[in-house]
Amino acid sequence: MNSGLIESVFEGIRQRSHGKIYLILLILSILVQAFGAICTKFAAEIGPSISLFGLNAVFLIYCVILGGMGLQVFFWQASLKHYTLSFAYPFRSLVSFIVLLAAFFLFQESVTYFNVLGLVIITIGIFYLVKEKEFLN
Amino acid sequence: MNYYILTIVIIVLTSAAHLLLKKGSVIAVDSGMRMYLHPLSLFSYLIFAIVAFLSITAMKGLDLKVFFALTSLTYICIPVLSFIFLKEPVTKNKLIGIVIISIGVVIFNF
Repeated sequence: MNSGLIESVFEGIRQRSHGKIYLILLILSILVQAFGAICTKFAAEIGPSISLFGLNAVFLIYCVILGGMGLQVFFWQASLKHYTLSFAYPFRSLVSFIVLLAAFFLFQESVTYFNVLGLVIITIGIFYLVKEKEFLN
Repeated sequence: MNYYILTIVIIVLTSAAHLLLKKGSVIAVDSGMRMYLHPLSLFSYLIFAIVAFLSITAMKGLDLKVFFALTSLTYICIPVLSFIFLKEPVTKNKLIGIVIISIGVVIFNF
């Protein structure tokens, strides 16, 4: 069998899996950002007198938020090594989707028709970006 | 009114921090440096910390809804600045996607 063909197939597989790692990093940065937003809401909801493991609960949550912020920047910057900023940044709007679900299920907040319509439109926009071919550095 | 000006400052600083972070990553990778320790990356981390502090101040005077609606302008600012300063390619799909997402974010925050 033609060895050049085999090499090109392996190169294609290598490039595809390499690209997937950066997509996973981008998604992880979005998930950690949403987690930070949910933690901030928890910190705002609970009273200042509540303690956890002998420490002030709000202080503990703030420590978690700061740690999450560091982790989020780590994933975000790693994905930026691969993607252009103008391609990657709009994906952060997906945070709204996760936060809306958390607001409804965890905090019993109301979800409006505008929220749902906005998310549908954001999803359509993301589909256009995913179709984009000029997204690499 | 001062809170609105503060929010505009936050938008400008956030956009600048993301540009510096991206620039730092590219320069560091090209020169074989650790991208997380590049001076531009470190400077952008500092800006992010300042933005976090300013955001808390701005939210004292603005509704959360209004604050997030205004900061959604970064979805337009950052791609536009990337085209100008980072010379990233402008394509039809990218433009359509960014415009649709921006409309969606505004409607979401209504």
